[in-house]
Amino acid sequence: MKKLSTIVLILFFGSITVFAQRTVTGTVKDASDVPMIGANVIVKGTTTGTITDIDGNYSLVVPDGFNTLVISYTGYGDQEIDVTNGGMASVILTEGTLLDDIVVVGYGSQQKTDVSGSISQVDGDDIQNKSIVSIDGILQGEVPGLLVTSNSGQPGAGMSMRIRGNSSINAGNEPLYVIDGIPVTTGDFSEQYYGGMDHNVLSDINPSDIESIEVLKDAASASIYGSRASNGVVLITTKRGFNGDAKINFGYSRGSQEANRTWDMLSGEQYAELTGSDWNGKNADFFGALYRTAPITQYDLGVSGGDLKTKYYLGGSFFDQDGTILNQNFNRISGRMNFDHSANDWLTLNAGINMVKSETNVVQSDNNIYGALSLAILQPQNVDIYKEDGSYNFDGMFFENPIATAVEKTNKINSRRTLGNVGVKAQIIEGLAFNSKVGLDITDFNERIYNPVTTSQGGGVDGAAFLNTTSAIRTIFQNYFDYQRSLTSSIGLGLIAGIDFEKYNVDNTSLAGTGFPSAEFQYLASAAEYTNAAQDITGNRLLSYYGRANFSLYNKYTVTGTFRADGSSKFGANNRYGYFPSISAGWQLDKEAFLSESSLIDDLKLRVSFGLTGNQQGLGNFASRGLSLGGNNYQGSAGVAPNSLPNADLKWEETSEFNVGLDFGILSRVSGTFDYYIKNTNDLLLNRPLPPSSGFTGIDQNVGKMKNSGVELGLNIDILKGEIGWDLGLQFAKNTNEVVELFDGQGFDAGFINRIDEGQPLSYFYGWKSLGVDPATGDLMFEDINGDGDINGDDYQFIGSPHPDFTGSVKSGLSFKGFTLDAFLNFVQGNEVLNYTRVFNEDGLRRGFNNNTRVLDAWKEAGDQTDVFRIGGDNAAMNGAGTSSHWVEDGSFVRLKAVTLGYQLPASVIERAGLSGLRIYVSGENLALWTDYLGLDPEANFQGTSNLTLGTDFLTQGLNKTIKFGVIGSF
Amino acid sequence: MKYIIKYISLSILAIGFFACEGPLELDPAQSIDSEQLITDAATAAVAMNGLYSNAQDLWGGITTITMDVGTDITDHIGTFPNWLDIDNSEQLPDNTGIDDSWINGYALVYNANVVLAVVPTVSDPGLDVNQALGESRALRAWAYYYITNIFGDVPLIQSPISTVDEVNVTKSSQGDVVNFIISELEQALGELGDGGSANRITKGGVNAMLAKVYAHVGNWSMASAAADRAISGGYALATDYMSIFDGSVSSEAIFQLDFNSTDANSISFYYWDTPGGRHEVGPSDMIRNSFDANDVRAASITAAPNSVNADFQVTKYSDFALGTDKPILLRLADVLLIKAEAQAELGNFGPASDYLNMVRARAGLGDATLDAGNFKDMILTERMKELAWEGGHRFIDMQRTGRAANYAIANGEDACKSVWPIPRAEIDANTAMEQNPCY
Repeated sequence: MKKLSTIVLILFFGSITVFAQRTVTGTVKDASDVPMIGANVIVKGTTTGTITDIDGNYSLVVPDGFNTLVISYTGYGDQEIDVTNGGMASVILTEGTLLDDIVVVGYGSQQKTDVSGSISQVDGDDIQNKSIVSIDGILQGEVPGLLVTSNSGQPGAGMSMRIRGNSSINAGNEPLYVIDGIPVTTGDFSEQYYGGMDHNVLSDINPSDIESIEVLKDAASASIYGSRASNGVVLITTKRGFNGDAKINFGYSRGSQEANRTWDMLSGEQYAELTGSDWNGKNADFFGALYRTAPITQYDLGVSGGDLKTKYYLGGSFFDQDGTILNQNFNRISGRMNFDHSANDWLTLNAGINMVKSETNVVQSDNNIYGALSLAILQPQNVDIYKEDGSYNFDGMFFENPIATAVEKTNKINSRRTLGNVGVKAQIIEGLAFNSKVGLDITDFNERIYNPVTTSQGGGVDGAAFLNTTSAIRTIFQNYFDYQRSLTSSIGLGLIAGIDFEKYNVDNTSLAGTGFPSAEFQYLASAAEYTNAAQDITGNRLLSYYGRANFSLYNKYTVTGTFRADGSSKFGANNRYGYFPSISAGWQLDKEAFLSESSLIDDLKLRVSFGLTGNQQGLGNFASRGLSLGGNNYQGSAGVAPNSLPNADLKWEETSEFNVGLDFGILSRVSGTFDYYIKNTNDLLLNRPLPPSSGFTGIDQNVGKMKNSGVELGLNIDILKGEIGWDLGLQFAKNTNEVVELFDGQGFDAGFINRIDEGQPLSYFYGWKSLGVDPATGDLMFEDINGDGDINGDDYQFIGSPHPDFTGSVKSGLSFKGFTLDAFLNFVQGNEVLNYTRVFNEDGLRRGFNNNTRVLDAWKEAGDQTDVFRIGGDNAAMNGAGTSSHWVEDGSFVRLKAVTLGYQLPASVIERAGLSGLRIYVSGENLALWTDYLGLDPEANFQGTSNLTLGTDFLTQGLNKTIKFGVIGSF
Repeated sequence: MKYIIKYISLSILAIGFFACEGPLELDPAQSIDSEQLITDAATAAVAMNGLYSNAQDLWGGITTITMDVGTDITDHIGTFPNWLDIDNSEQLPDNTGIDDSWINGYALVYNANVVLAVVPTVSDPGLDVNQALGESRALRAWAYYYITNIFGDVPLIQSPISTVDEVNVTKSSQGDVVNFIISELEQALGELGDGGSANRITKGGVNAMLAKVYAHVGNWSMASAAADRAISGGYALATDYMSIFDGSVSSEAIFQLDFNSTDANSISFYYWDTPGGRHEVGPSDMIRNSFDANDVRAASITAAPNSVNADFQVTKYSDFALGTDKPILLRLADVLLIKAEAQAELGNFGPASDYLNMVRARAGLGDATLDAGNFKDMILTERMKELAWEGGHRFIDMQRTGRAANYAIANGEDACKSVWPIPRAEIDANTAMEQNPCY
């Protein structure tokens, strides 16, 4: 980063004509005598420079009159060497402290020492070694206070991201994503799928193109993004070119995946025995037929380079992943070009374009009676999968043949994405620049479903097809001035001020038809009847004014203030503009006299910040208007009917956040950050319930309050340095969530048994508290709170929280010569998960669904001590009721998320092959899971993108185990 | 420097363009502001279609099925717990099937209130103000008739609310609600023009409604008179009973909702066996066994082809694929039986028997003779067989004849369970609302 910015800065100061020159050569090495590849060598006071080669060597023509070279390398302290005498000039760089790095912030970048908000940085190198499909997956376990949850093992499926807990009930809890300064479209355009099958728009971004990711966690760092910043902001910076010969990077990996766990279900014989029927001798192995070992492959190719005037990065990749369930697939082709050009001494141009095509084959699952995995779990196995002639058997299947549902049906998502930006930077006077950029984010989303006549879902109607096409276009025009100046040697000043205008338009068309000539005809042109046609056009506008001032004194004290005013077409007429200020201060304690001589402490910085941010995600585009909706037709003629009441006061949710943090470095071995925060969200967007007798069931209003508070700790420890290196990274976060106020104190239900009440964590589990199985009767006993002898709705109580007590991860990196062994463990502790799958597959066989083998231990006679209630009996419905804590389980887990063994081939070997670097590795993901959870995966959530259905597993596919081999090289 | 200034000036100009309020003004593409809903004859016609669309929501699906589940003619056989509870008279205030009737009922009331309030203020010579008022008034009255039958004492809201401060409305007694319905229907009769399609509100429809509401309050002479006016409205019994349900508007249809594949309903999806349907509900054994051997109406039930438990399904609705079944809310046979009942109540058993026998004859049955001892049961049973699964008639007949209470008792519940609970959403949000007894 620093390298890049140094070069960029130099560009602005123009080139200097020189007349006489001499050549200097040398070597750059680190403290352990290892040559440093790609170190930056620049003649001080000029734009002349080069980078070191694979052996750390450089050769540079130094103009007369210049006698100093500046050597820099990310993560290391700059060094200047005197070359007055020319000839050889070698240097050893020592590692600088991490605090010296540059951090990308909203609209620009800052020295980390100047940052006084809470920002976490994830480096591109950390990204490259992961075989993760999407950005959110990369961040899993990397950032203290960021909880990333994989909702399902379906390839391409969505993840849920929560920075510092859930701050909203209805307005959305996902962070804002900004790629190269441009906010991008996120979310799920799929119309047909349930939770775990949500499509993930973020999976359109190829991780190999990423240089770094910054997560803006507190209000002070995020509030420059105003009304969209309450859930934090993720800034993604893609790779750019540099001044030097073309460098070609390539990567290839191939691996295979397997389901981590499957359910142990009753065999056909056991099912017959327990239901007291005669076994027909059949025993279908659904899981054996449905699950498979699935390949995963990735190819990457990148070229970057340039000269002093023009720099480029070109990257291309192909990713192909089969799912562990038959017919699941996700594949993606992407290409990116980043370009920078210095047009003259005051104008630079920059552009970036990313084109992606991805394709997902989804298999119906989750809360769906036609889901493949759902049926494989719930269909009793005393049936045949195939008939003797090889065709699918439907005899004895209560809804559908699970294998047929996976294989015969088409559920295809095609997504085409173009992200582009073109900008200029004009240097007006020294220190003052004007930046202008136009950004475009185009998503073309196409979802096609076909249920042929050969399946029972398509059977009654001779085949059914559905098509949804969505085109979402975001256009941004961004303009800002920035001013960076050292007023004196001890006072630094940075200012930015700008205006953005953003347009977002969505055009969604869907079409459905039935009656196809045969299974070969899949497309709607062949449908006999069109059962649905709809087009929905919507959008919004955002006009923003923003500014930031940061001021630093003696490199010890920094103060930063930011401000943003957001005007949105979504806000009601009485509240068109929202204002979001913030202030933060940092104190570099280690530079004070009382610490500067300390040999113990290398770095110590205290940060304090306060700011206001907003959230308008879930706010309907026209929710503030009293509208009458078209499409209310009758007898084939158009009709319009009132469908909402106006609320001209409707606006963003507002979060105020206080953060205090400490960055520290001890003994050149330990560095870390600690943060404490309190986040209060006011004016929660709630659908205030109206009595339906008014003609309406609710109206969106800003009422309600929510509070999150917590601590975060990140530690990096260099245990061993030298030939054998060992780094340890530890992360820990604890967040406490509480719903403080609701409209009129009225709680409400969500999901299956989630509930939102004042004084409780968001979406806690609410139901009967099970006291276990009564050894006398075999029935579940429930706590009768009011002691009236009846177990009914009055006995519902708090029976669990989906929010973890704490989360964290441990990262270990061992290195010896060219070998590296990295391991990554993440853990979640103290949350409850509603295992709704068990409500069906452990129901005491009362509804004809197959049960898991735990029912073999069901209560049988008086005196049996067991936690599985009896089969049958008069209380079967009560026992099986989904509203009890019998199904609420401890969701804590420790997961061995990744292990990678890598080997960097020695330079002597690869040079002969004409390469400059080559690394081979073997890695495994999700290798082990330690949990008491009885289901497939405690992380799975069938409505992962829902704000309110938290911690609910319902027939959801778990995460897969992956083993793969890969190679990364460059020349 | 010159270029820099030029460039920045251009950009600032561009910013200036965006910096005004204009760019934030954006209008929805599928909606209009409700103030512009009705401004002339054309928009009034569109709003009237919107009102009939509300009628489709109220009478074209869940509500009437739910009502039937709460009677002795429909059994719940599927997996929806809301219908299972109602079938056992164990419905709770958060039952979604019950919610649906309340929500759709009052949505129609609100929309009708808007039309009734706005139409008189529109000055467009092309607009037939009285016709619009009459249709809206009758639809609103008929919605109230269902709401009060299901829920007893209910809020009687006669004008559209404009702010959320007006939402806490207390209950009016069922007597007041029914009196309001009668006076509104009488007023609509004066407003409506002659003729019109059975797919919309006509004078004939309003007369049929009046006959039924007068019967409900035991005003038999008025019921009889209204029935006479309806019967002489140009309707005729269809010769083939099952042809009434073939999707066309039959000669005896008085008020029948239209549906096409665009505004499709799900009625047969719930009745019909898999594949294609869900078979959530089916005919009870009682009604299936009640048909005499010659009764052509027995064809309204058939064996479910793929049912494991040898269940039966209702055949009056069949288009589960496209959802174009056209539910009949009022037809001549209904009015003839009301007329028979009114005559019998007035002691005129001869004419009463004649009207009853018109319906029986079409069903392929011989004549019956009504007398003071048998007429109540005979007419009610005839109404059940003739009108089963149409418009929730069985539910309303059981309510007005006091048999709904017996049904609850037969299910082992208190008699007061025959009136359903005010939905929880209403109780929670309306501070002036009281729950019905029993819940």
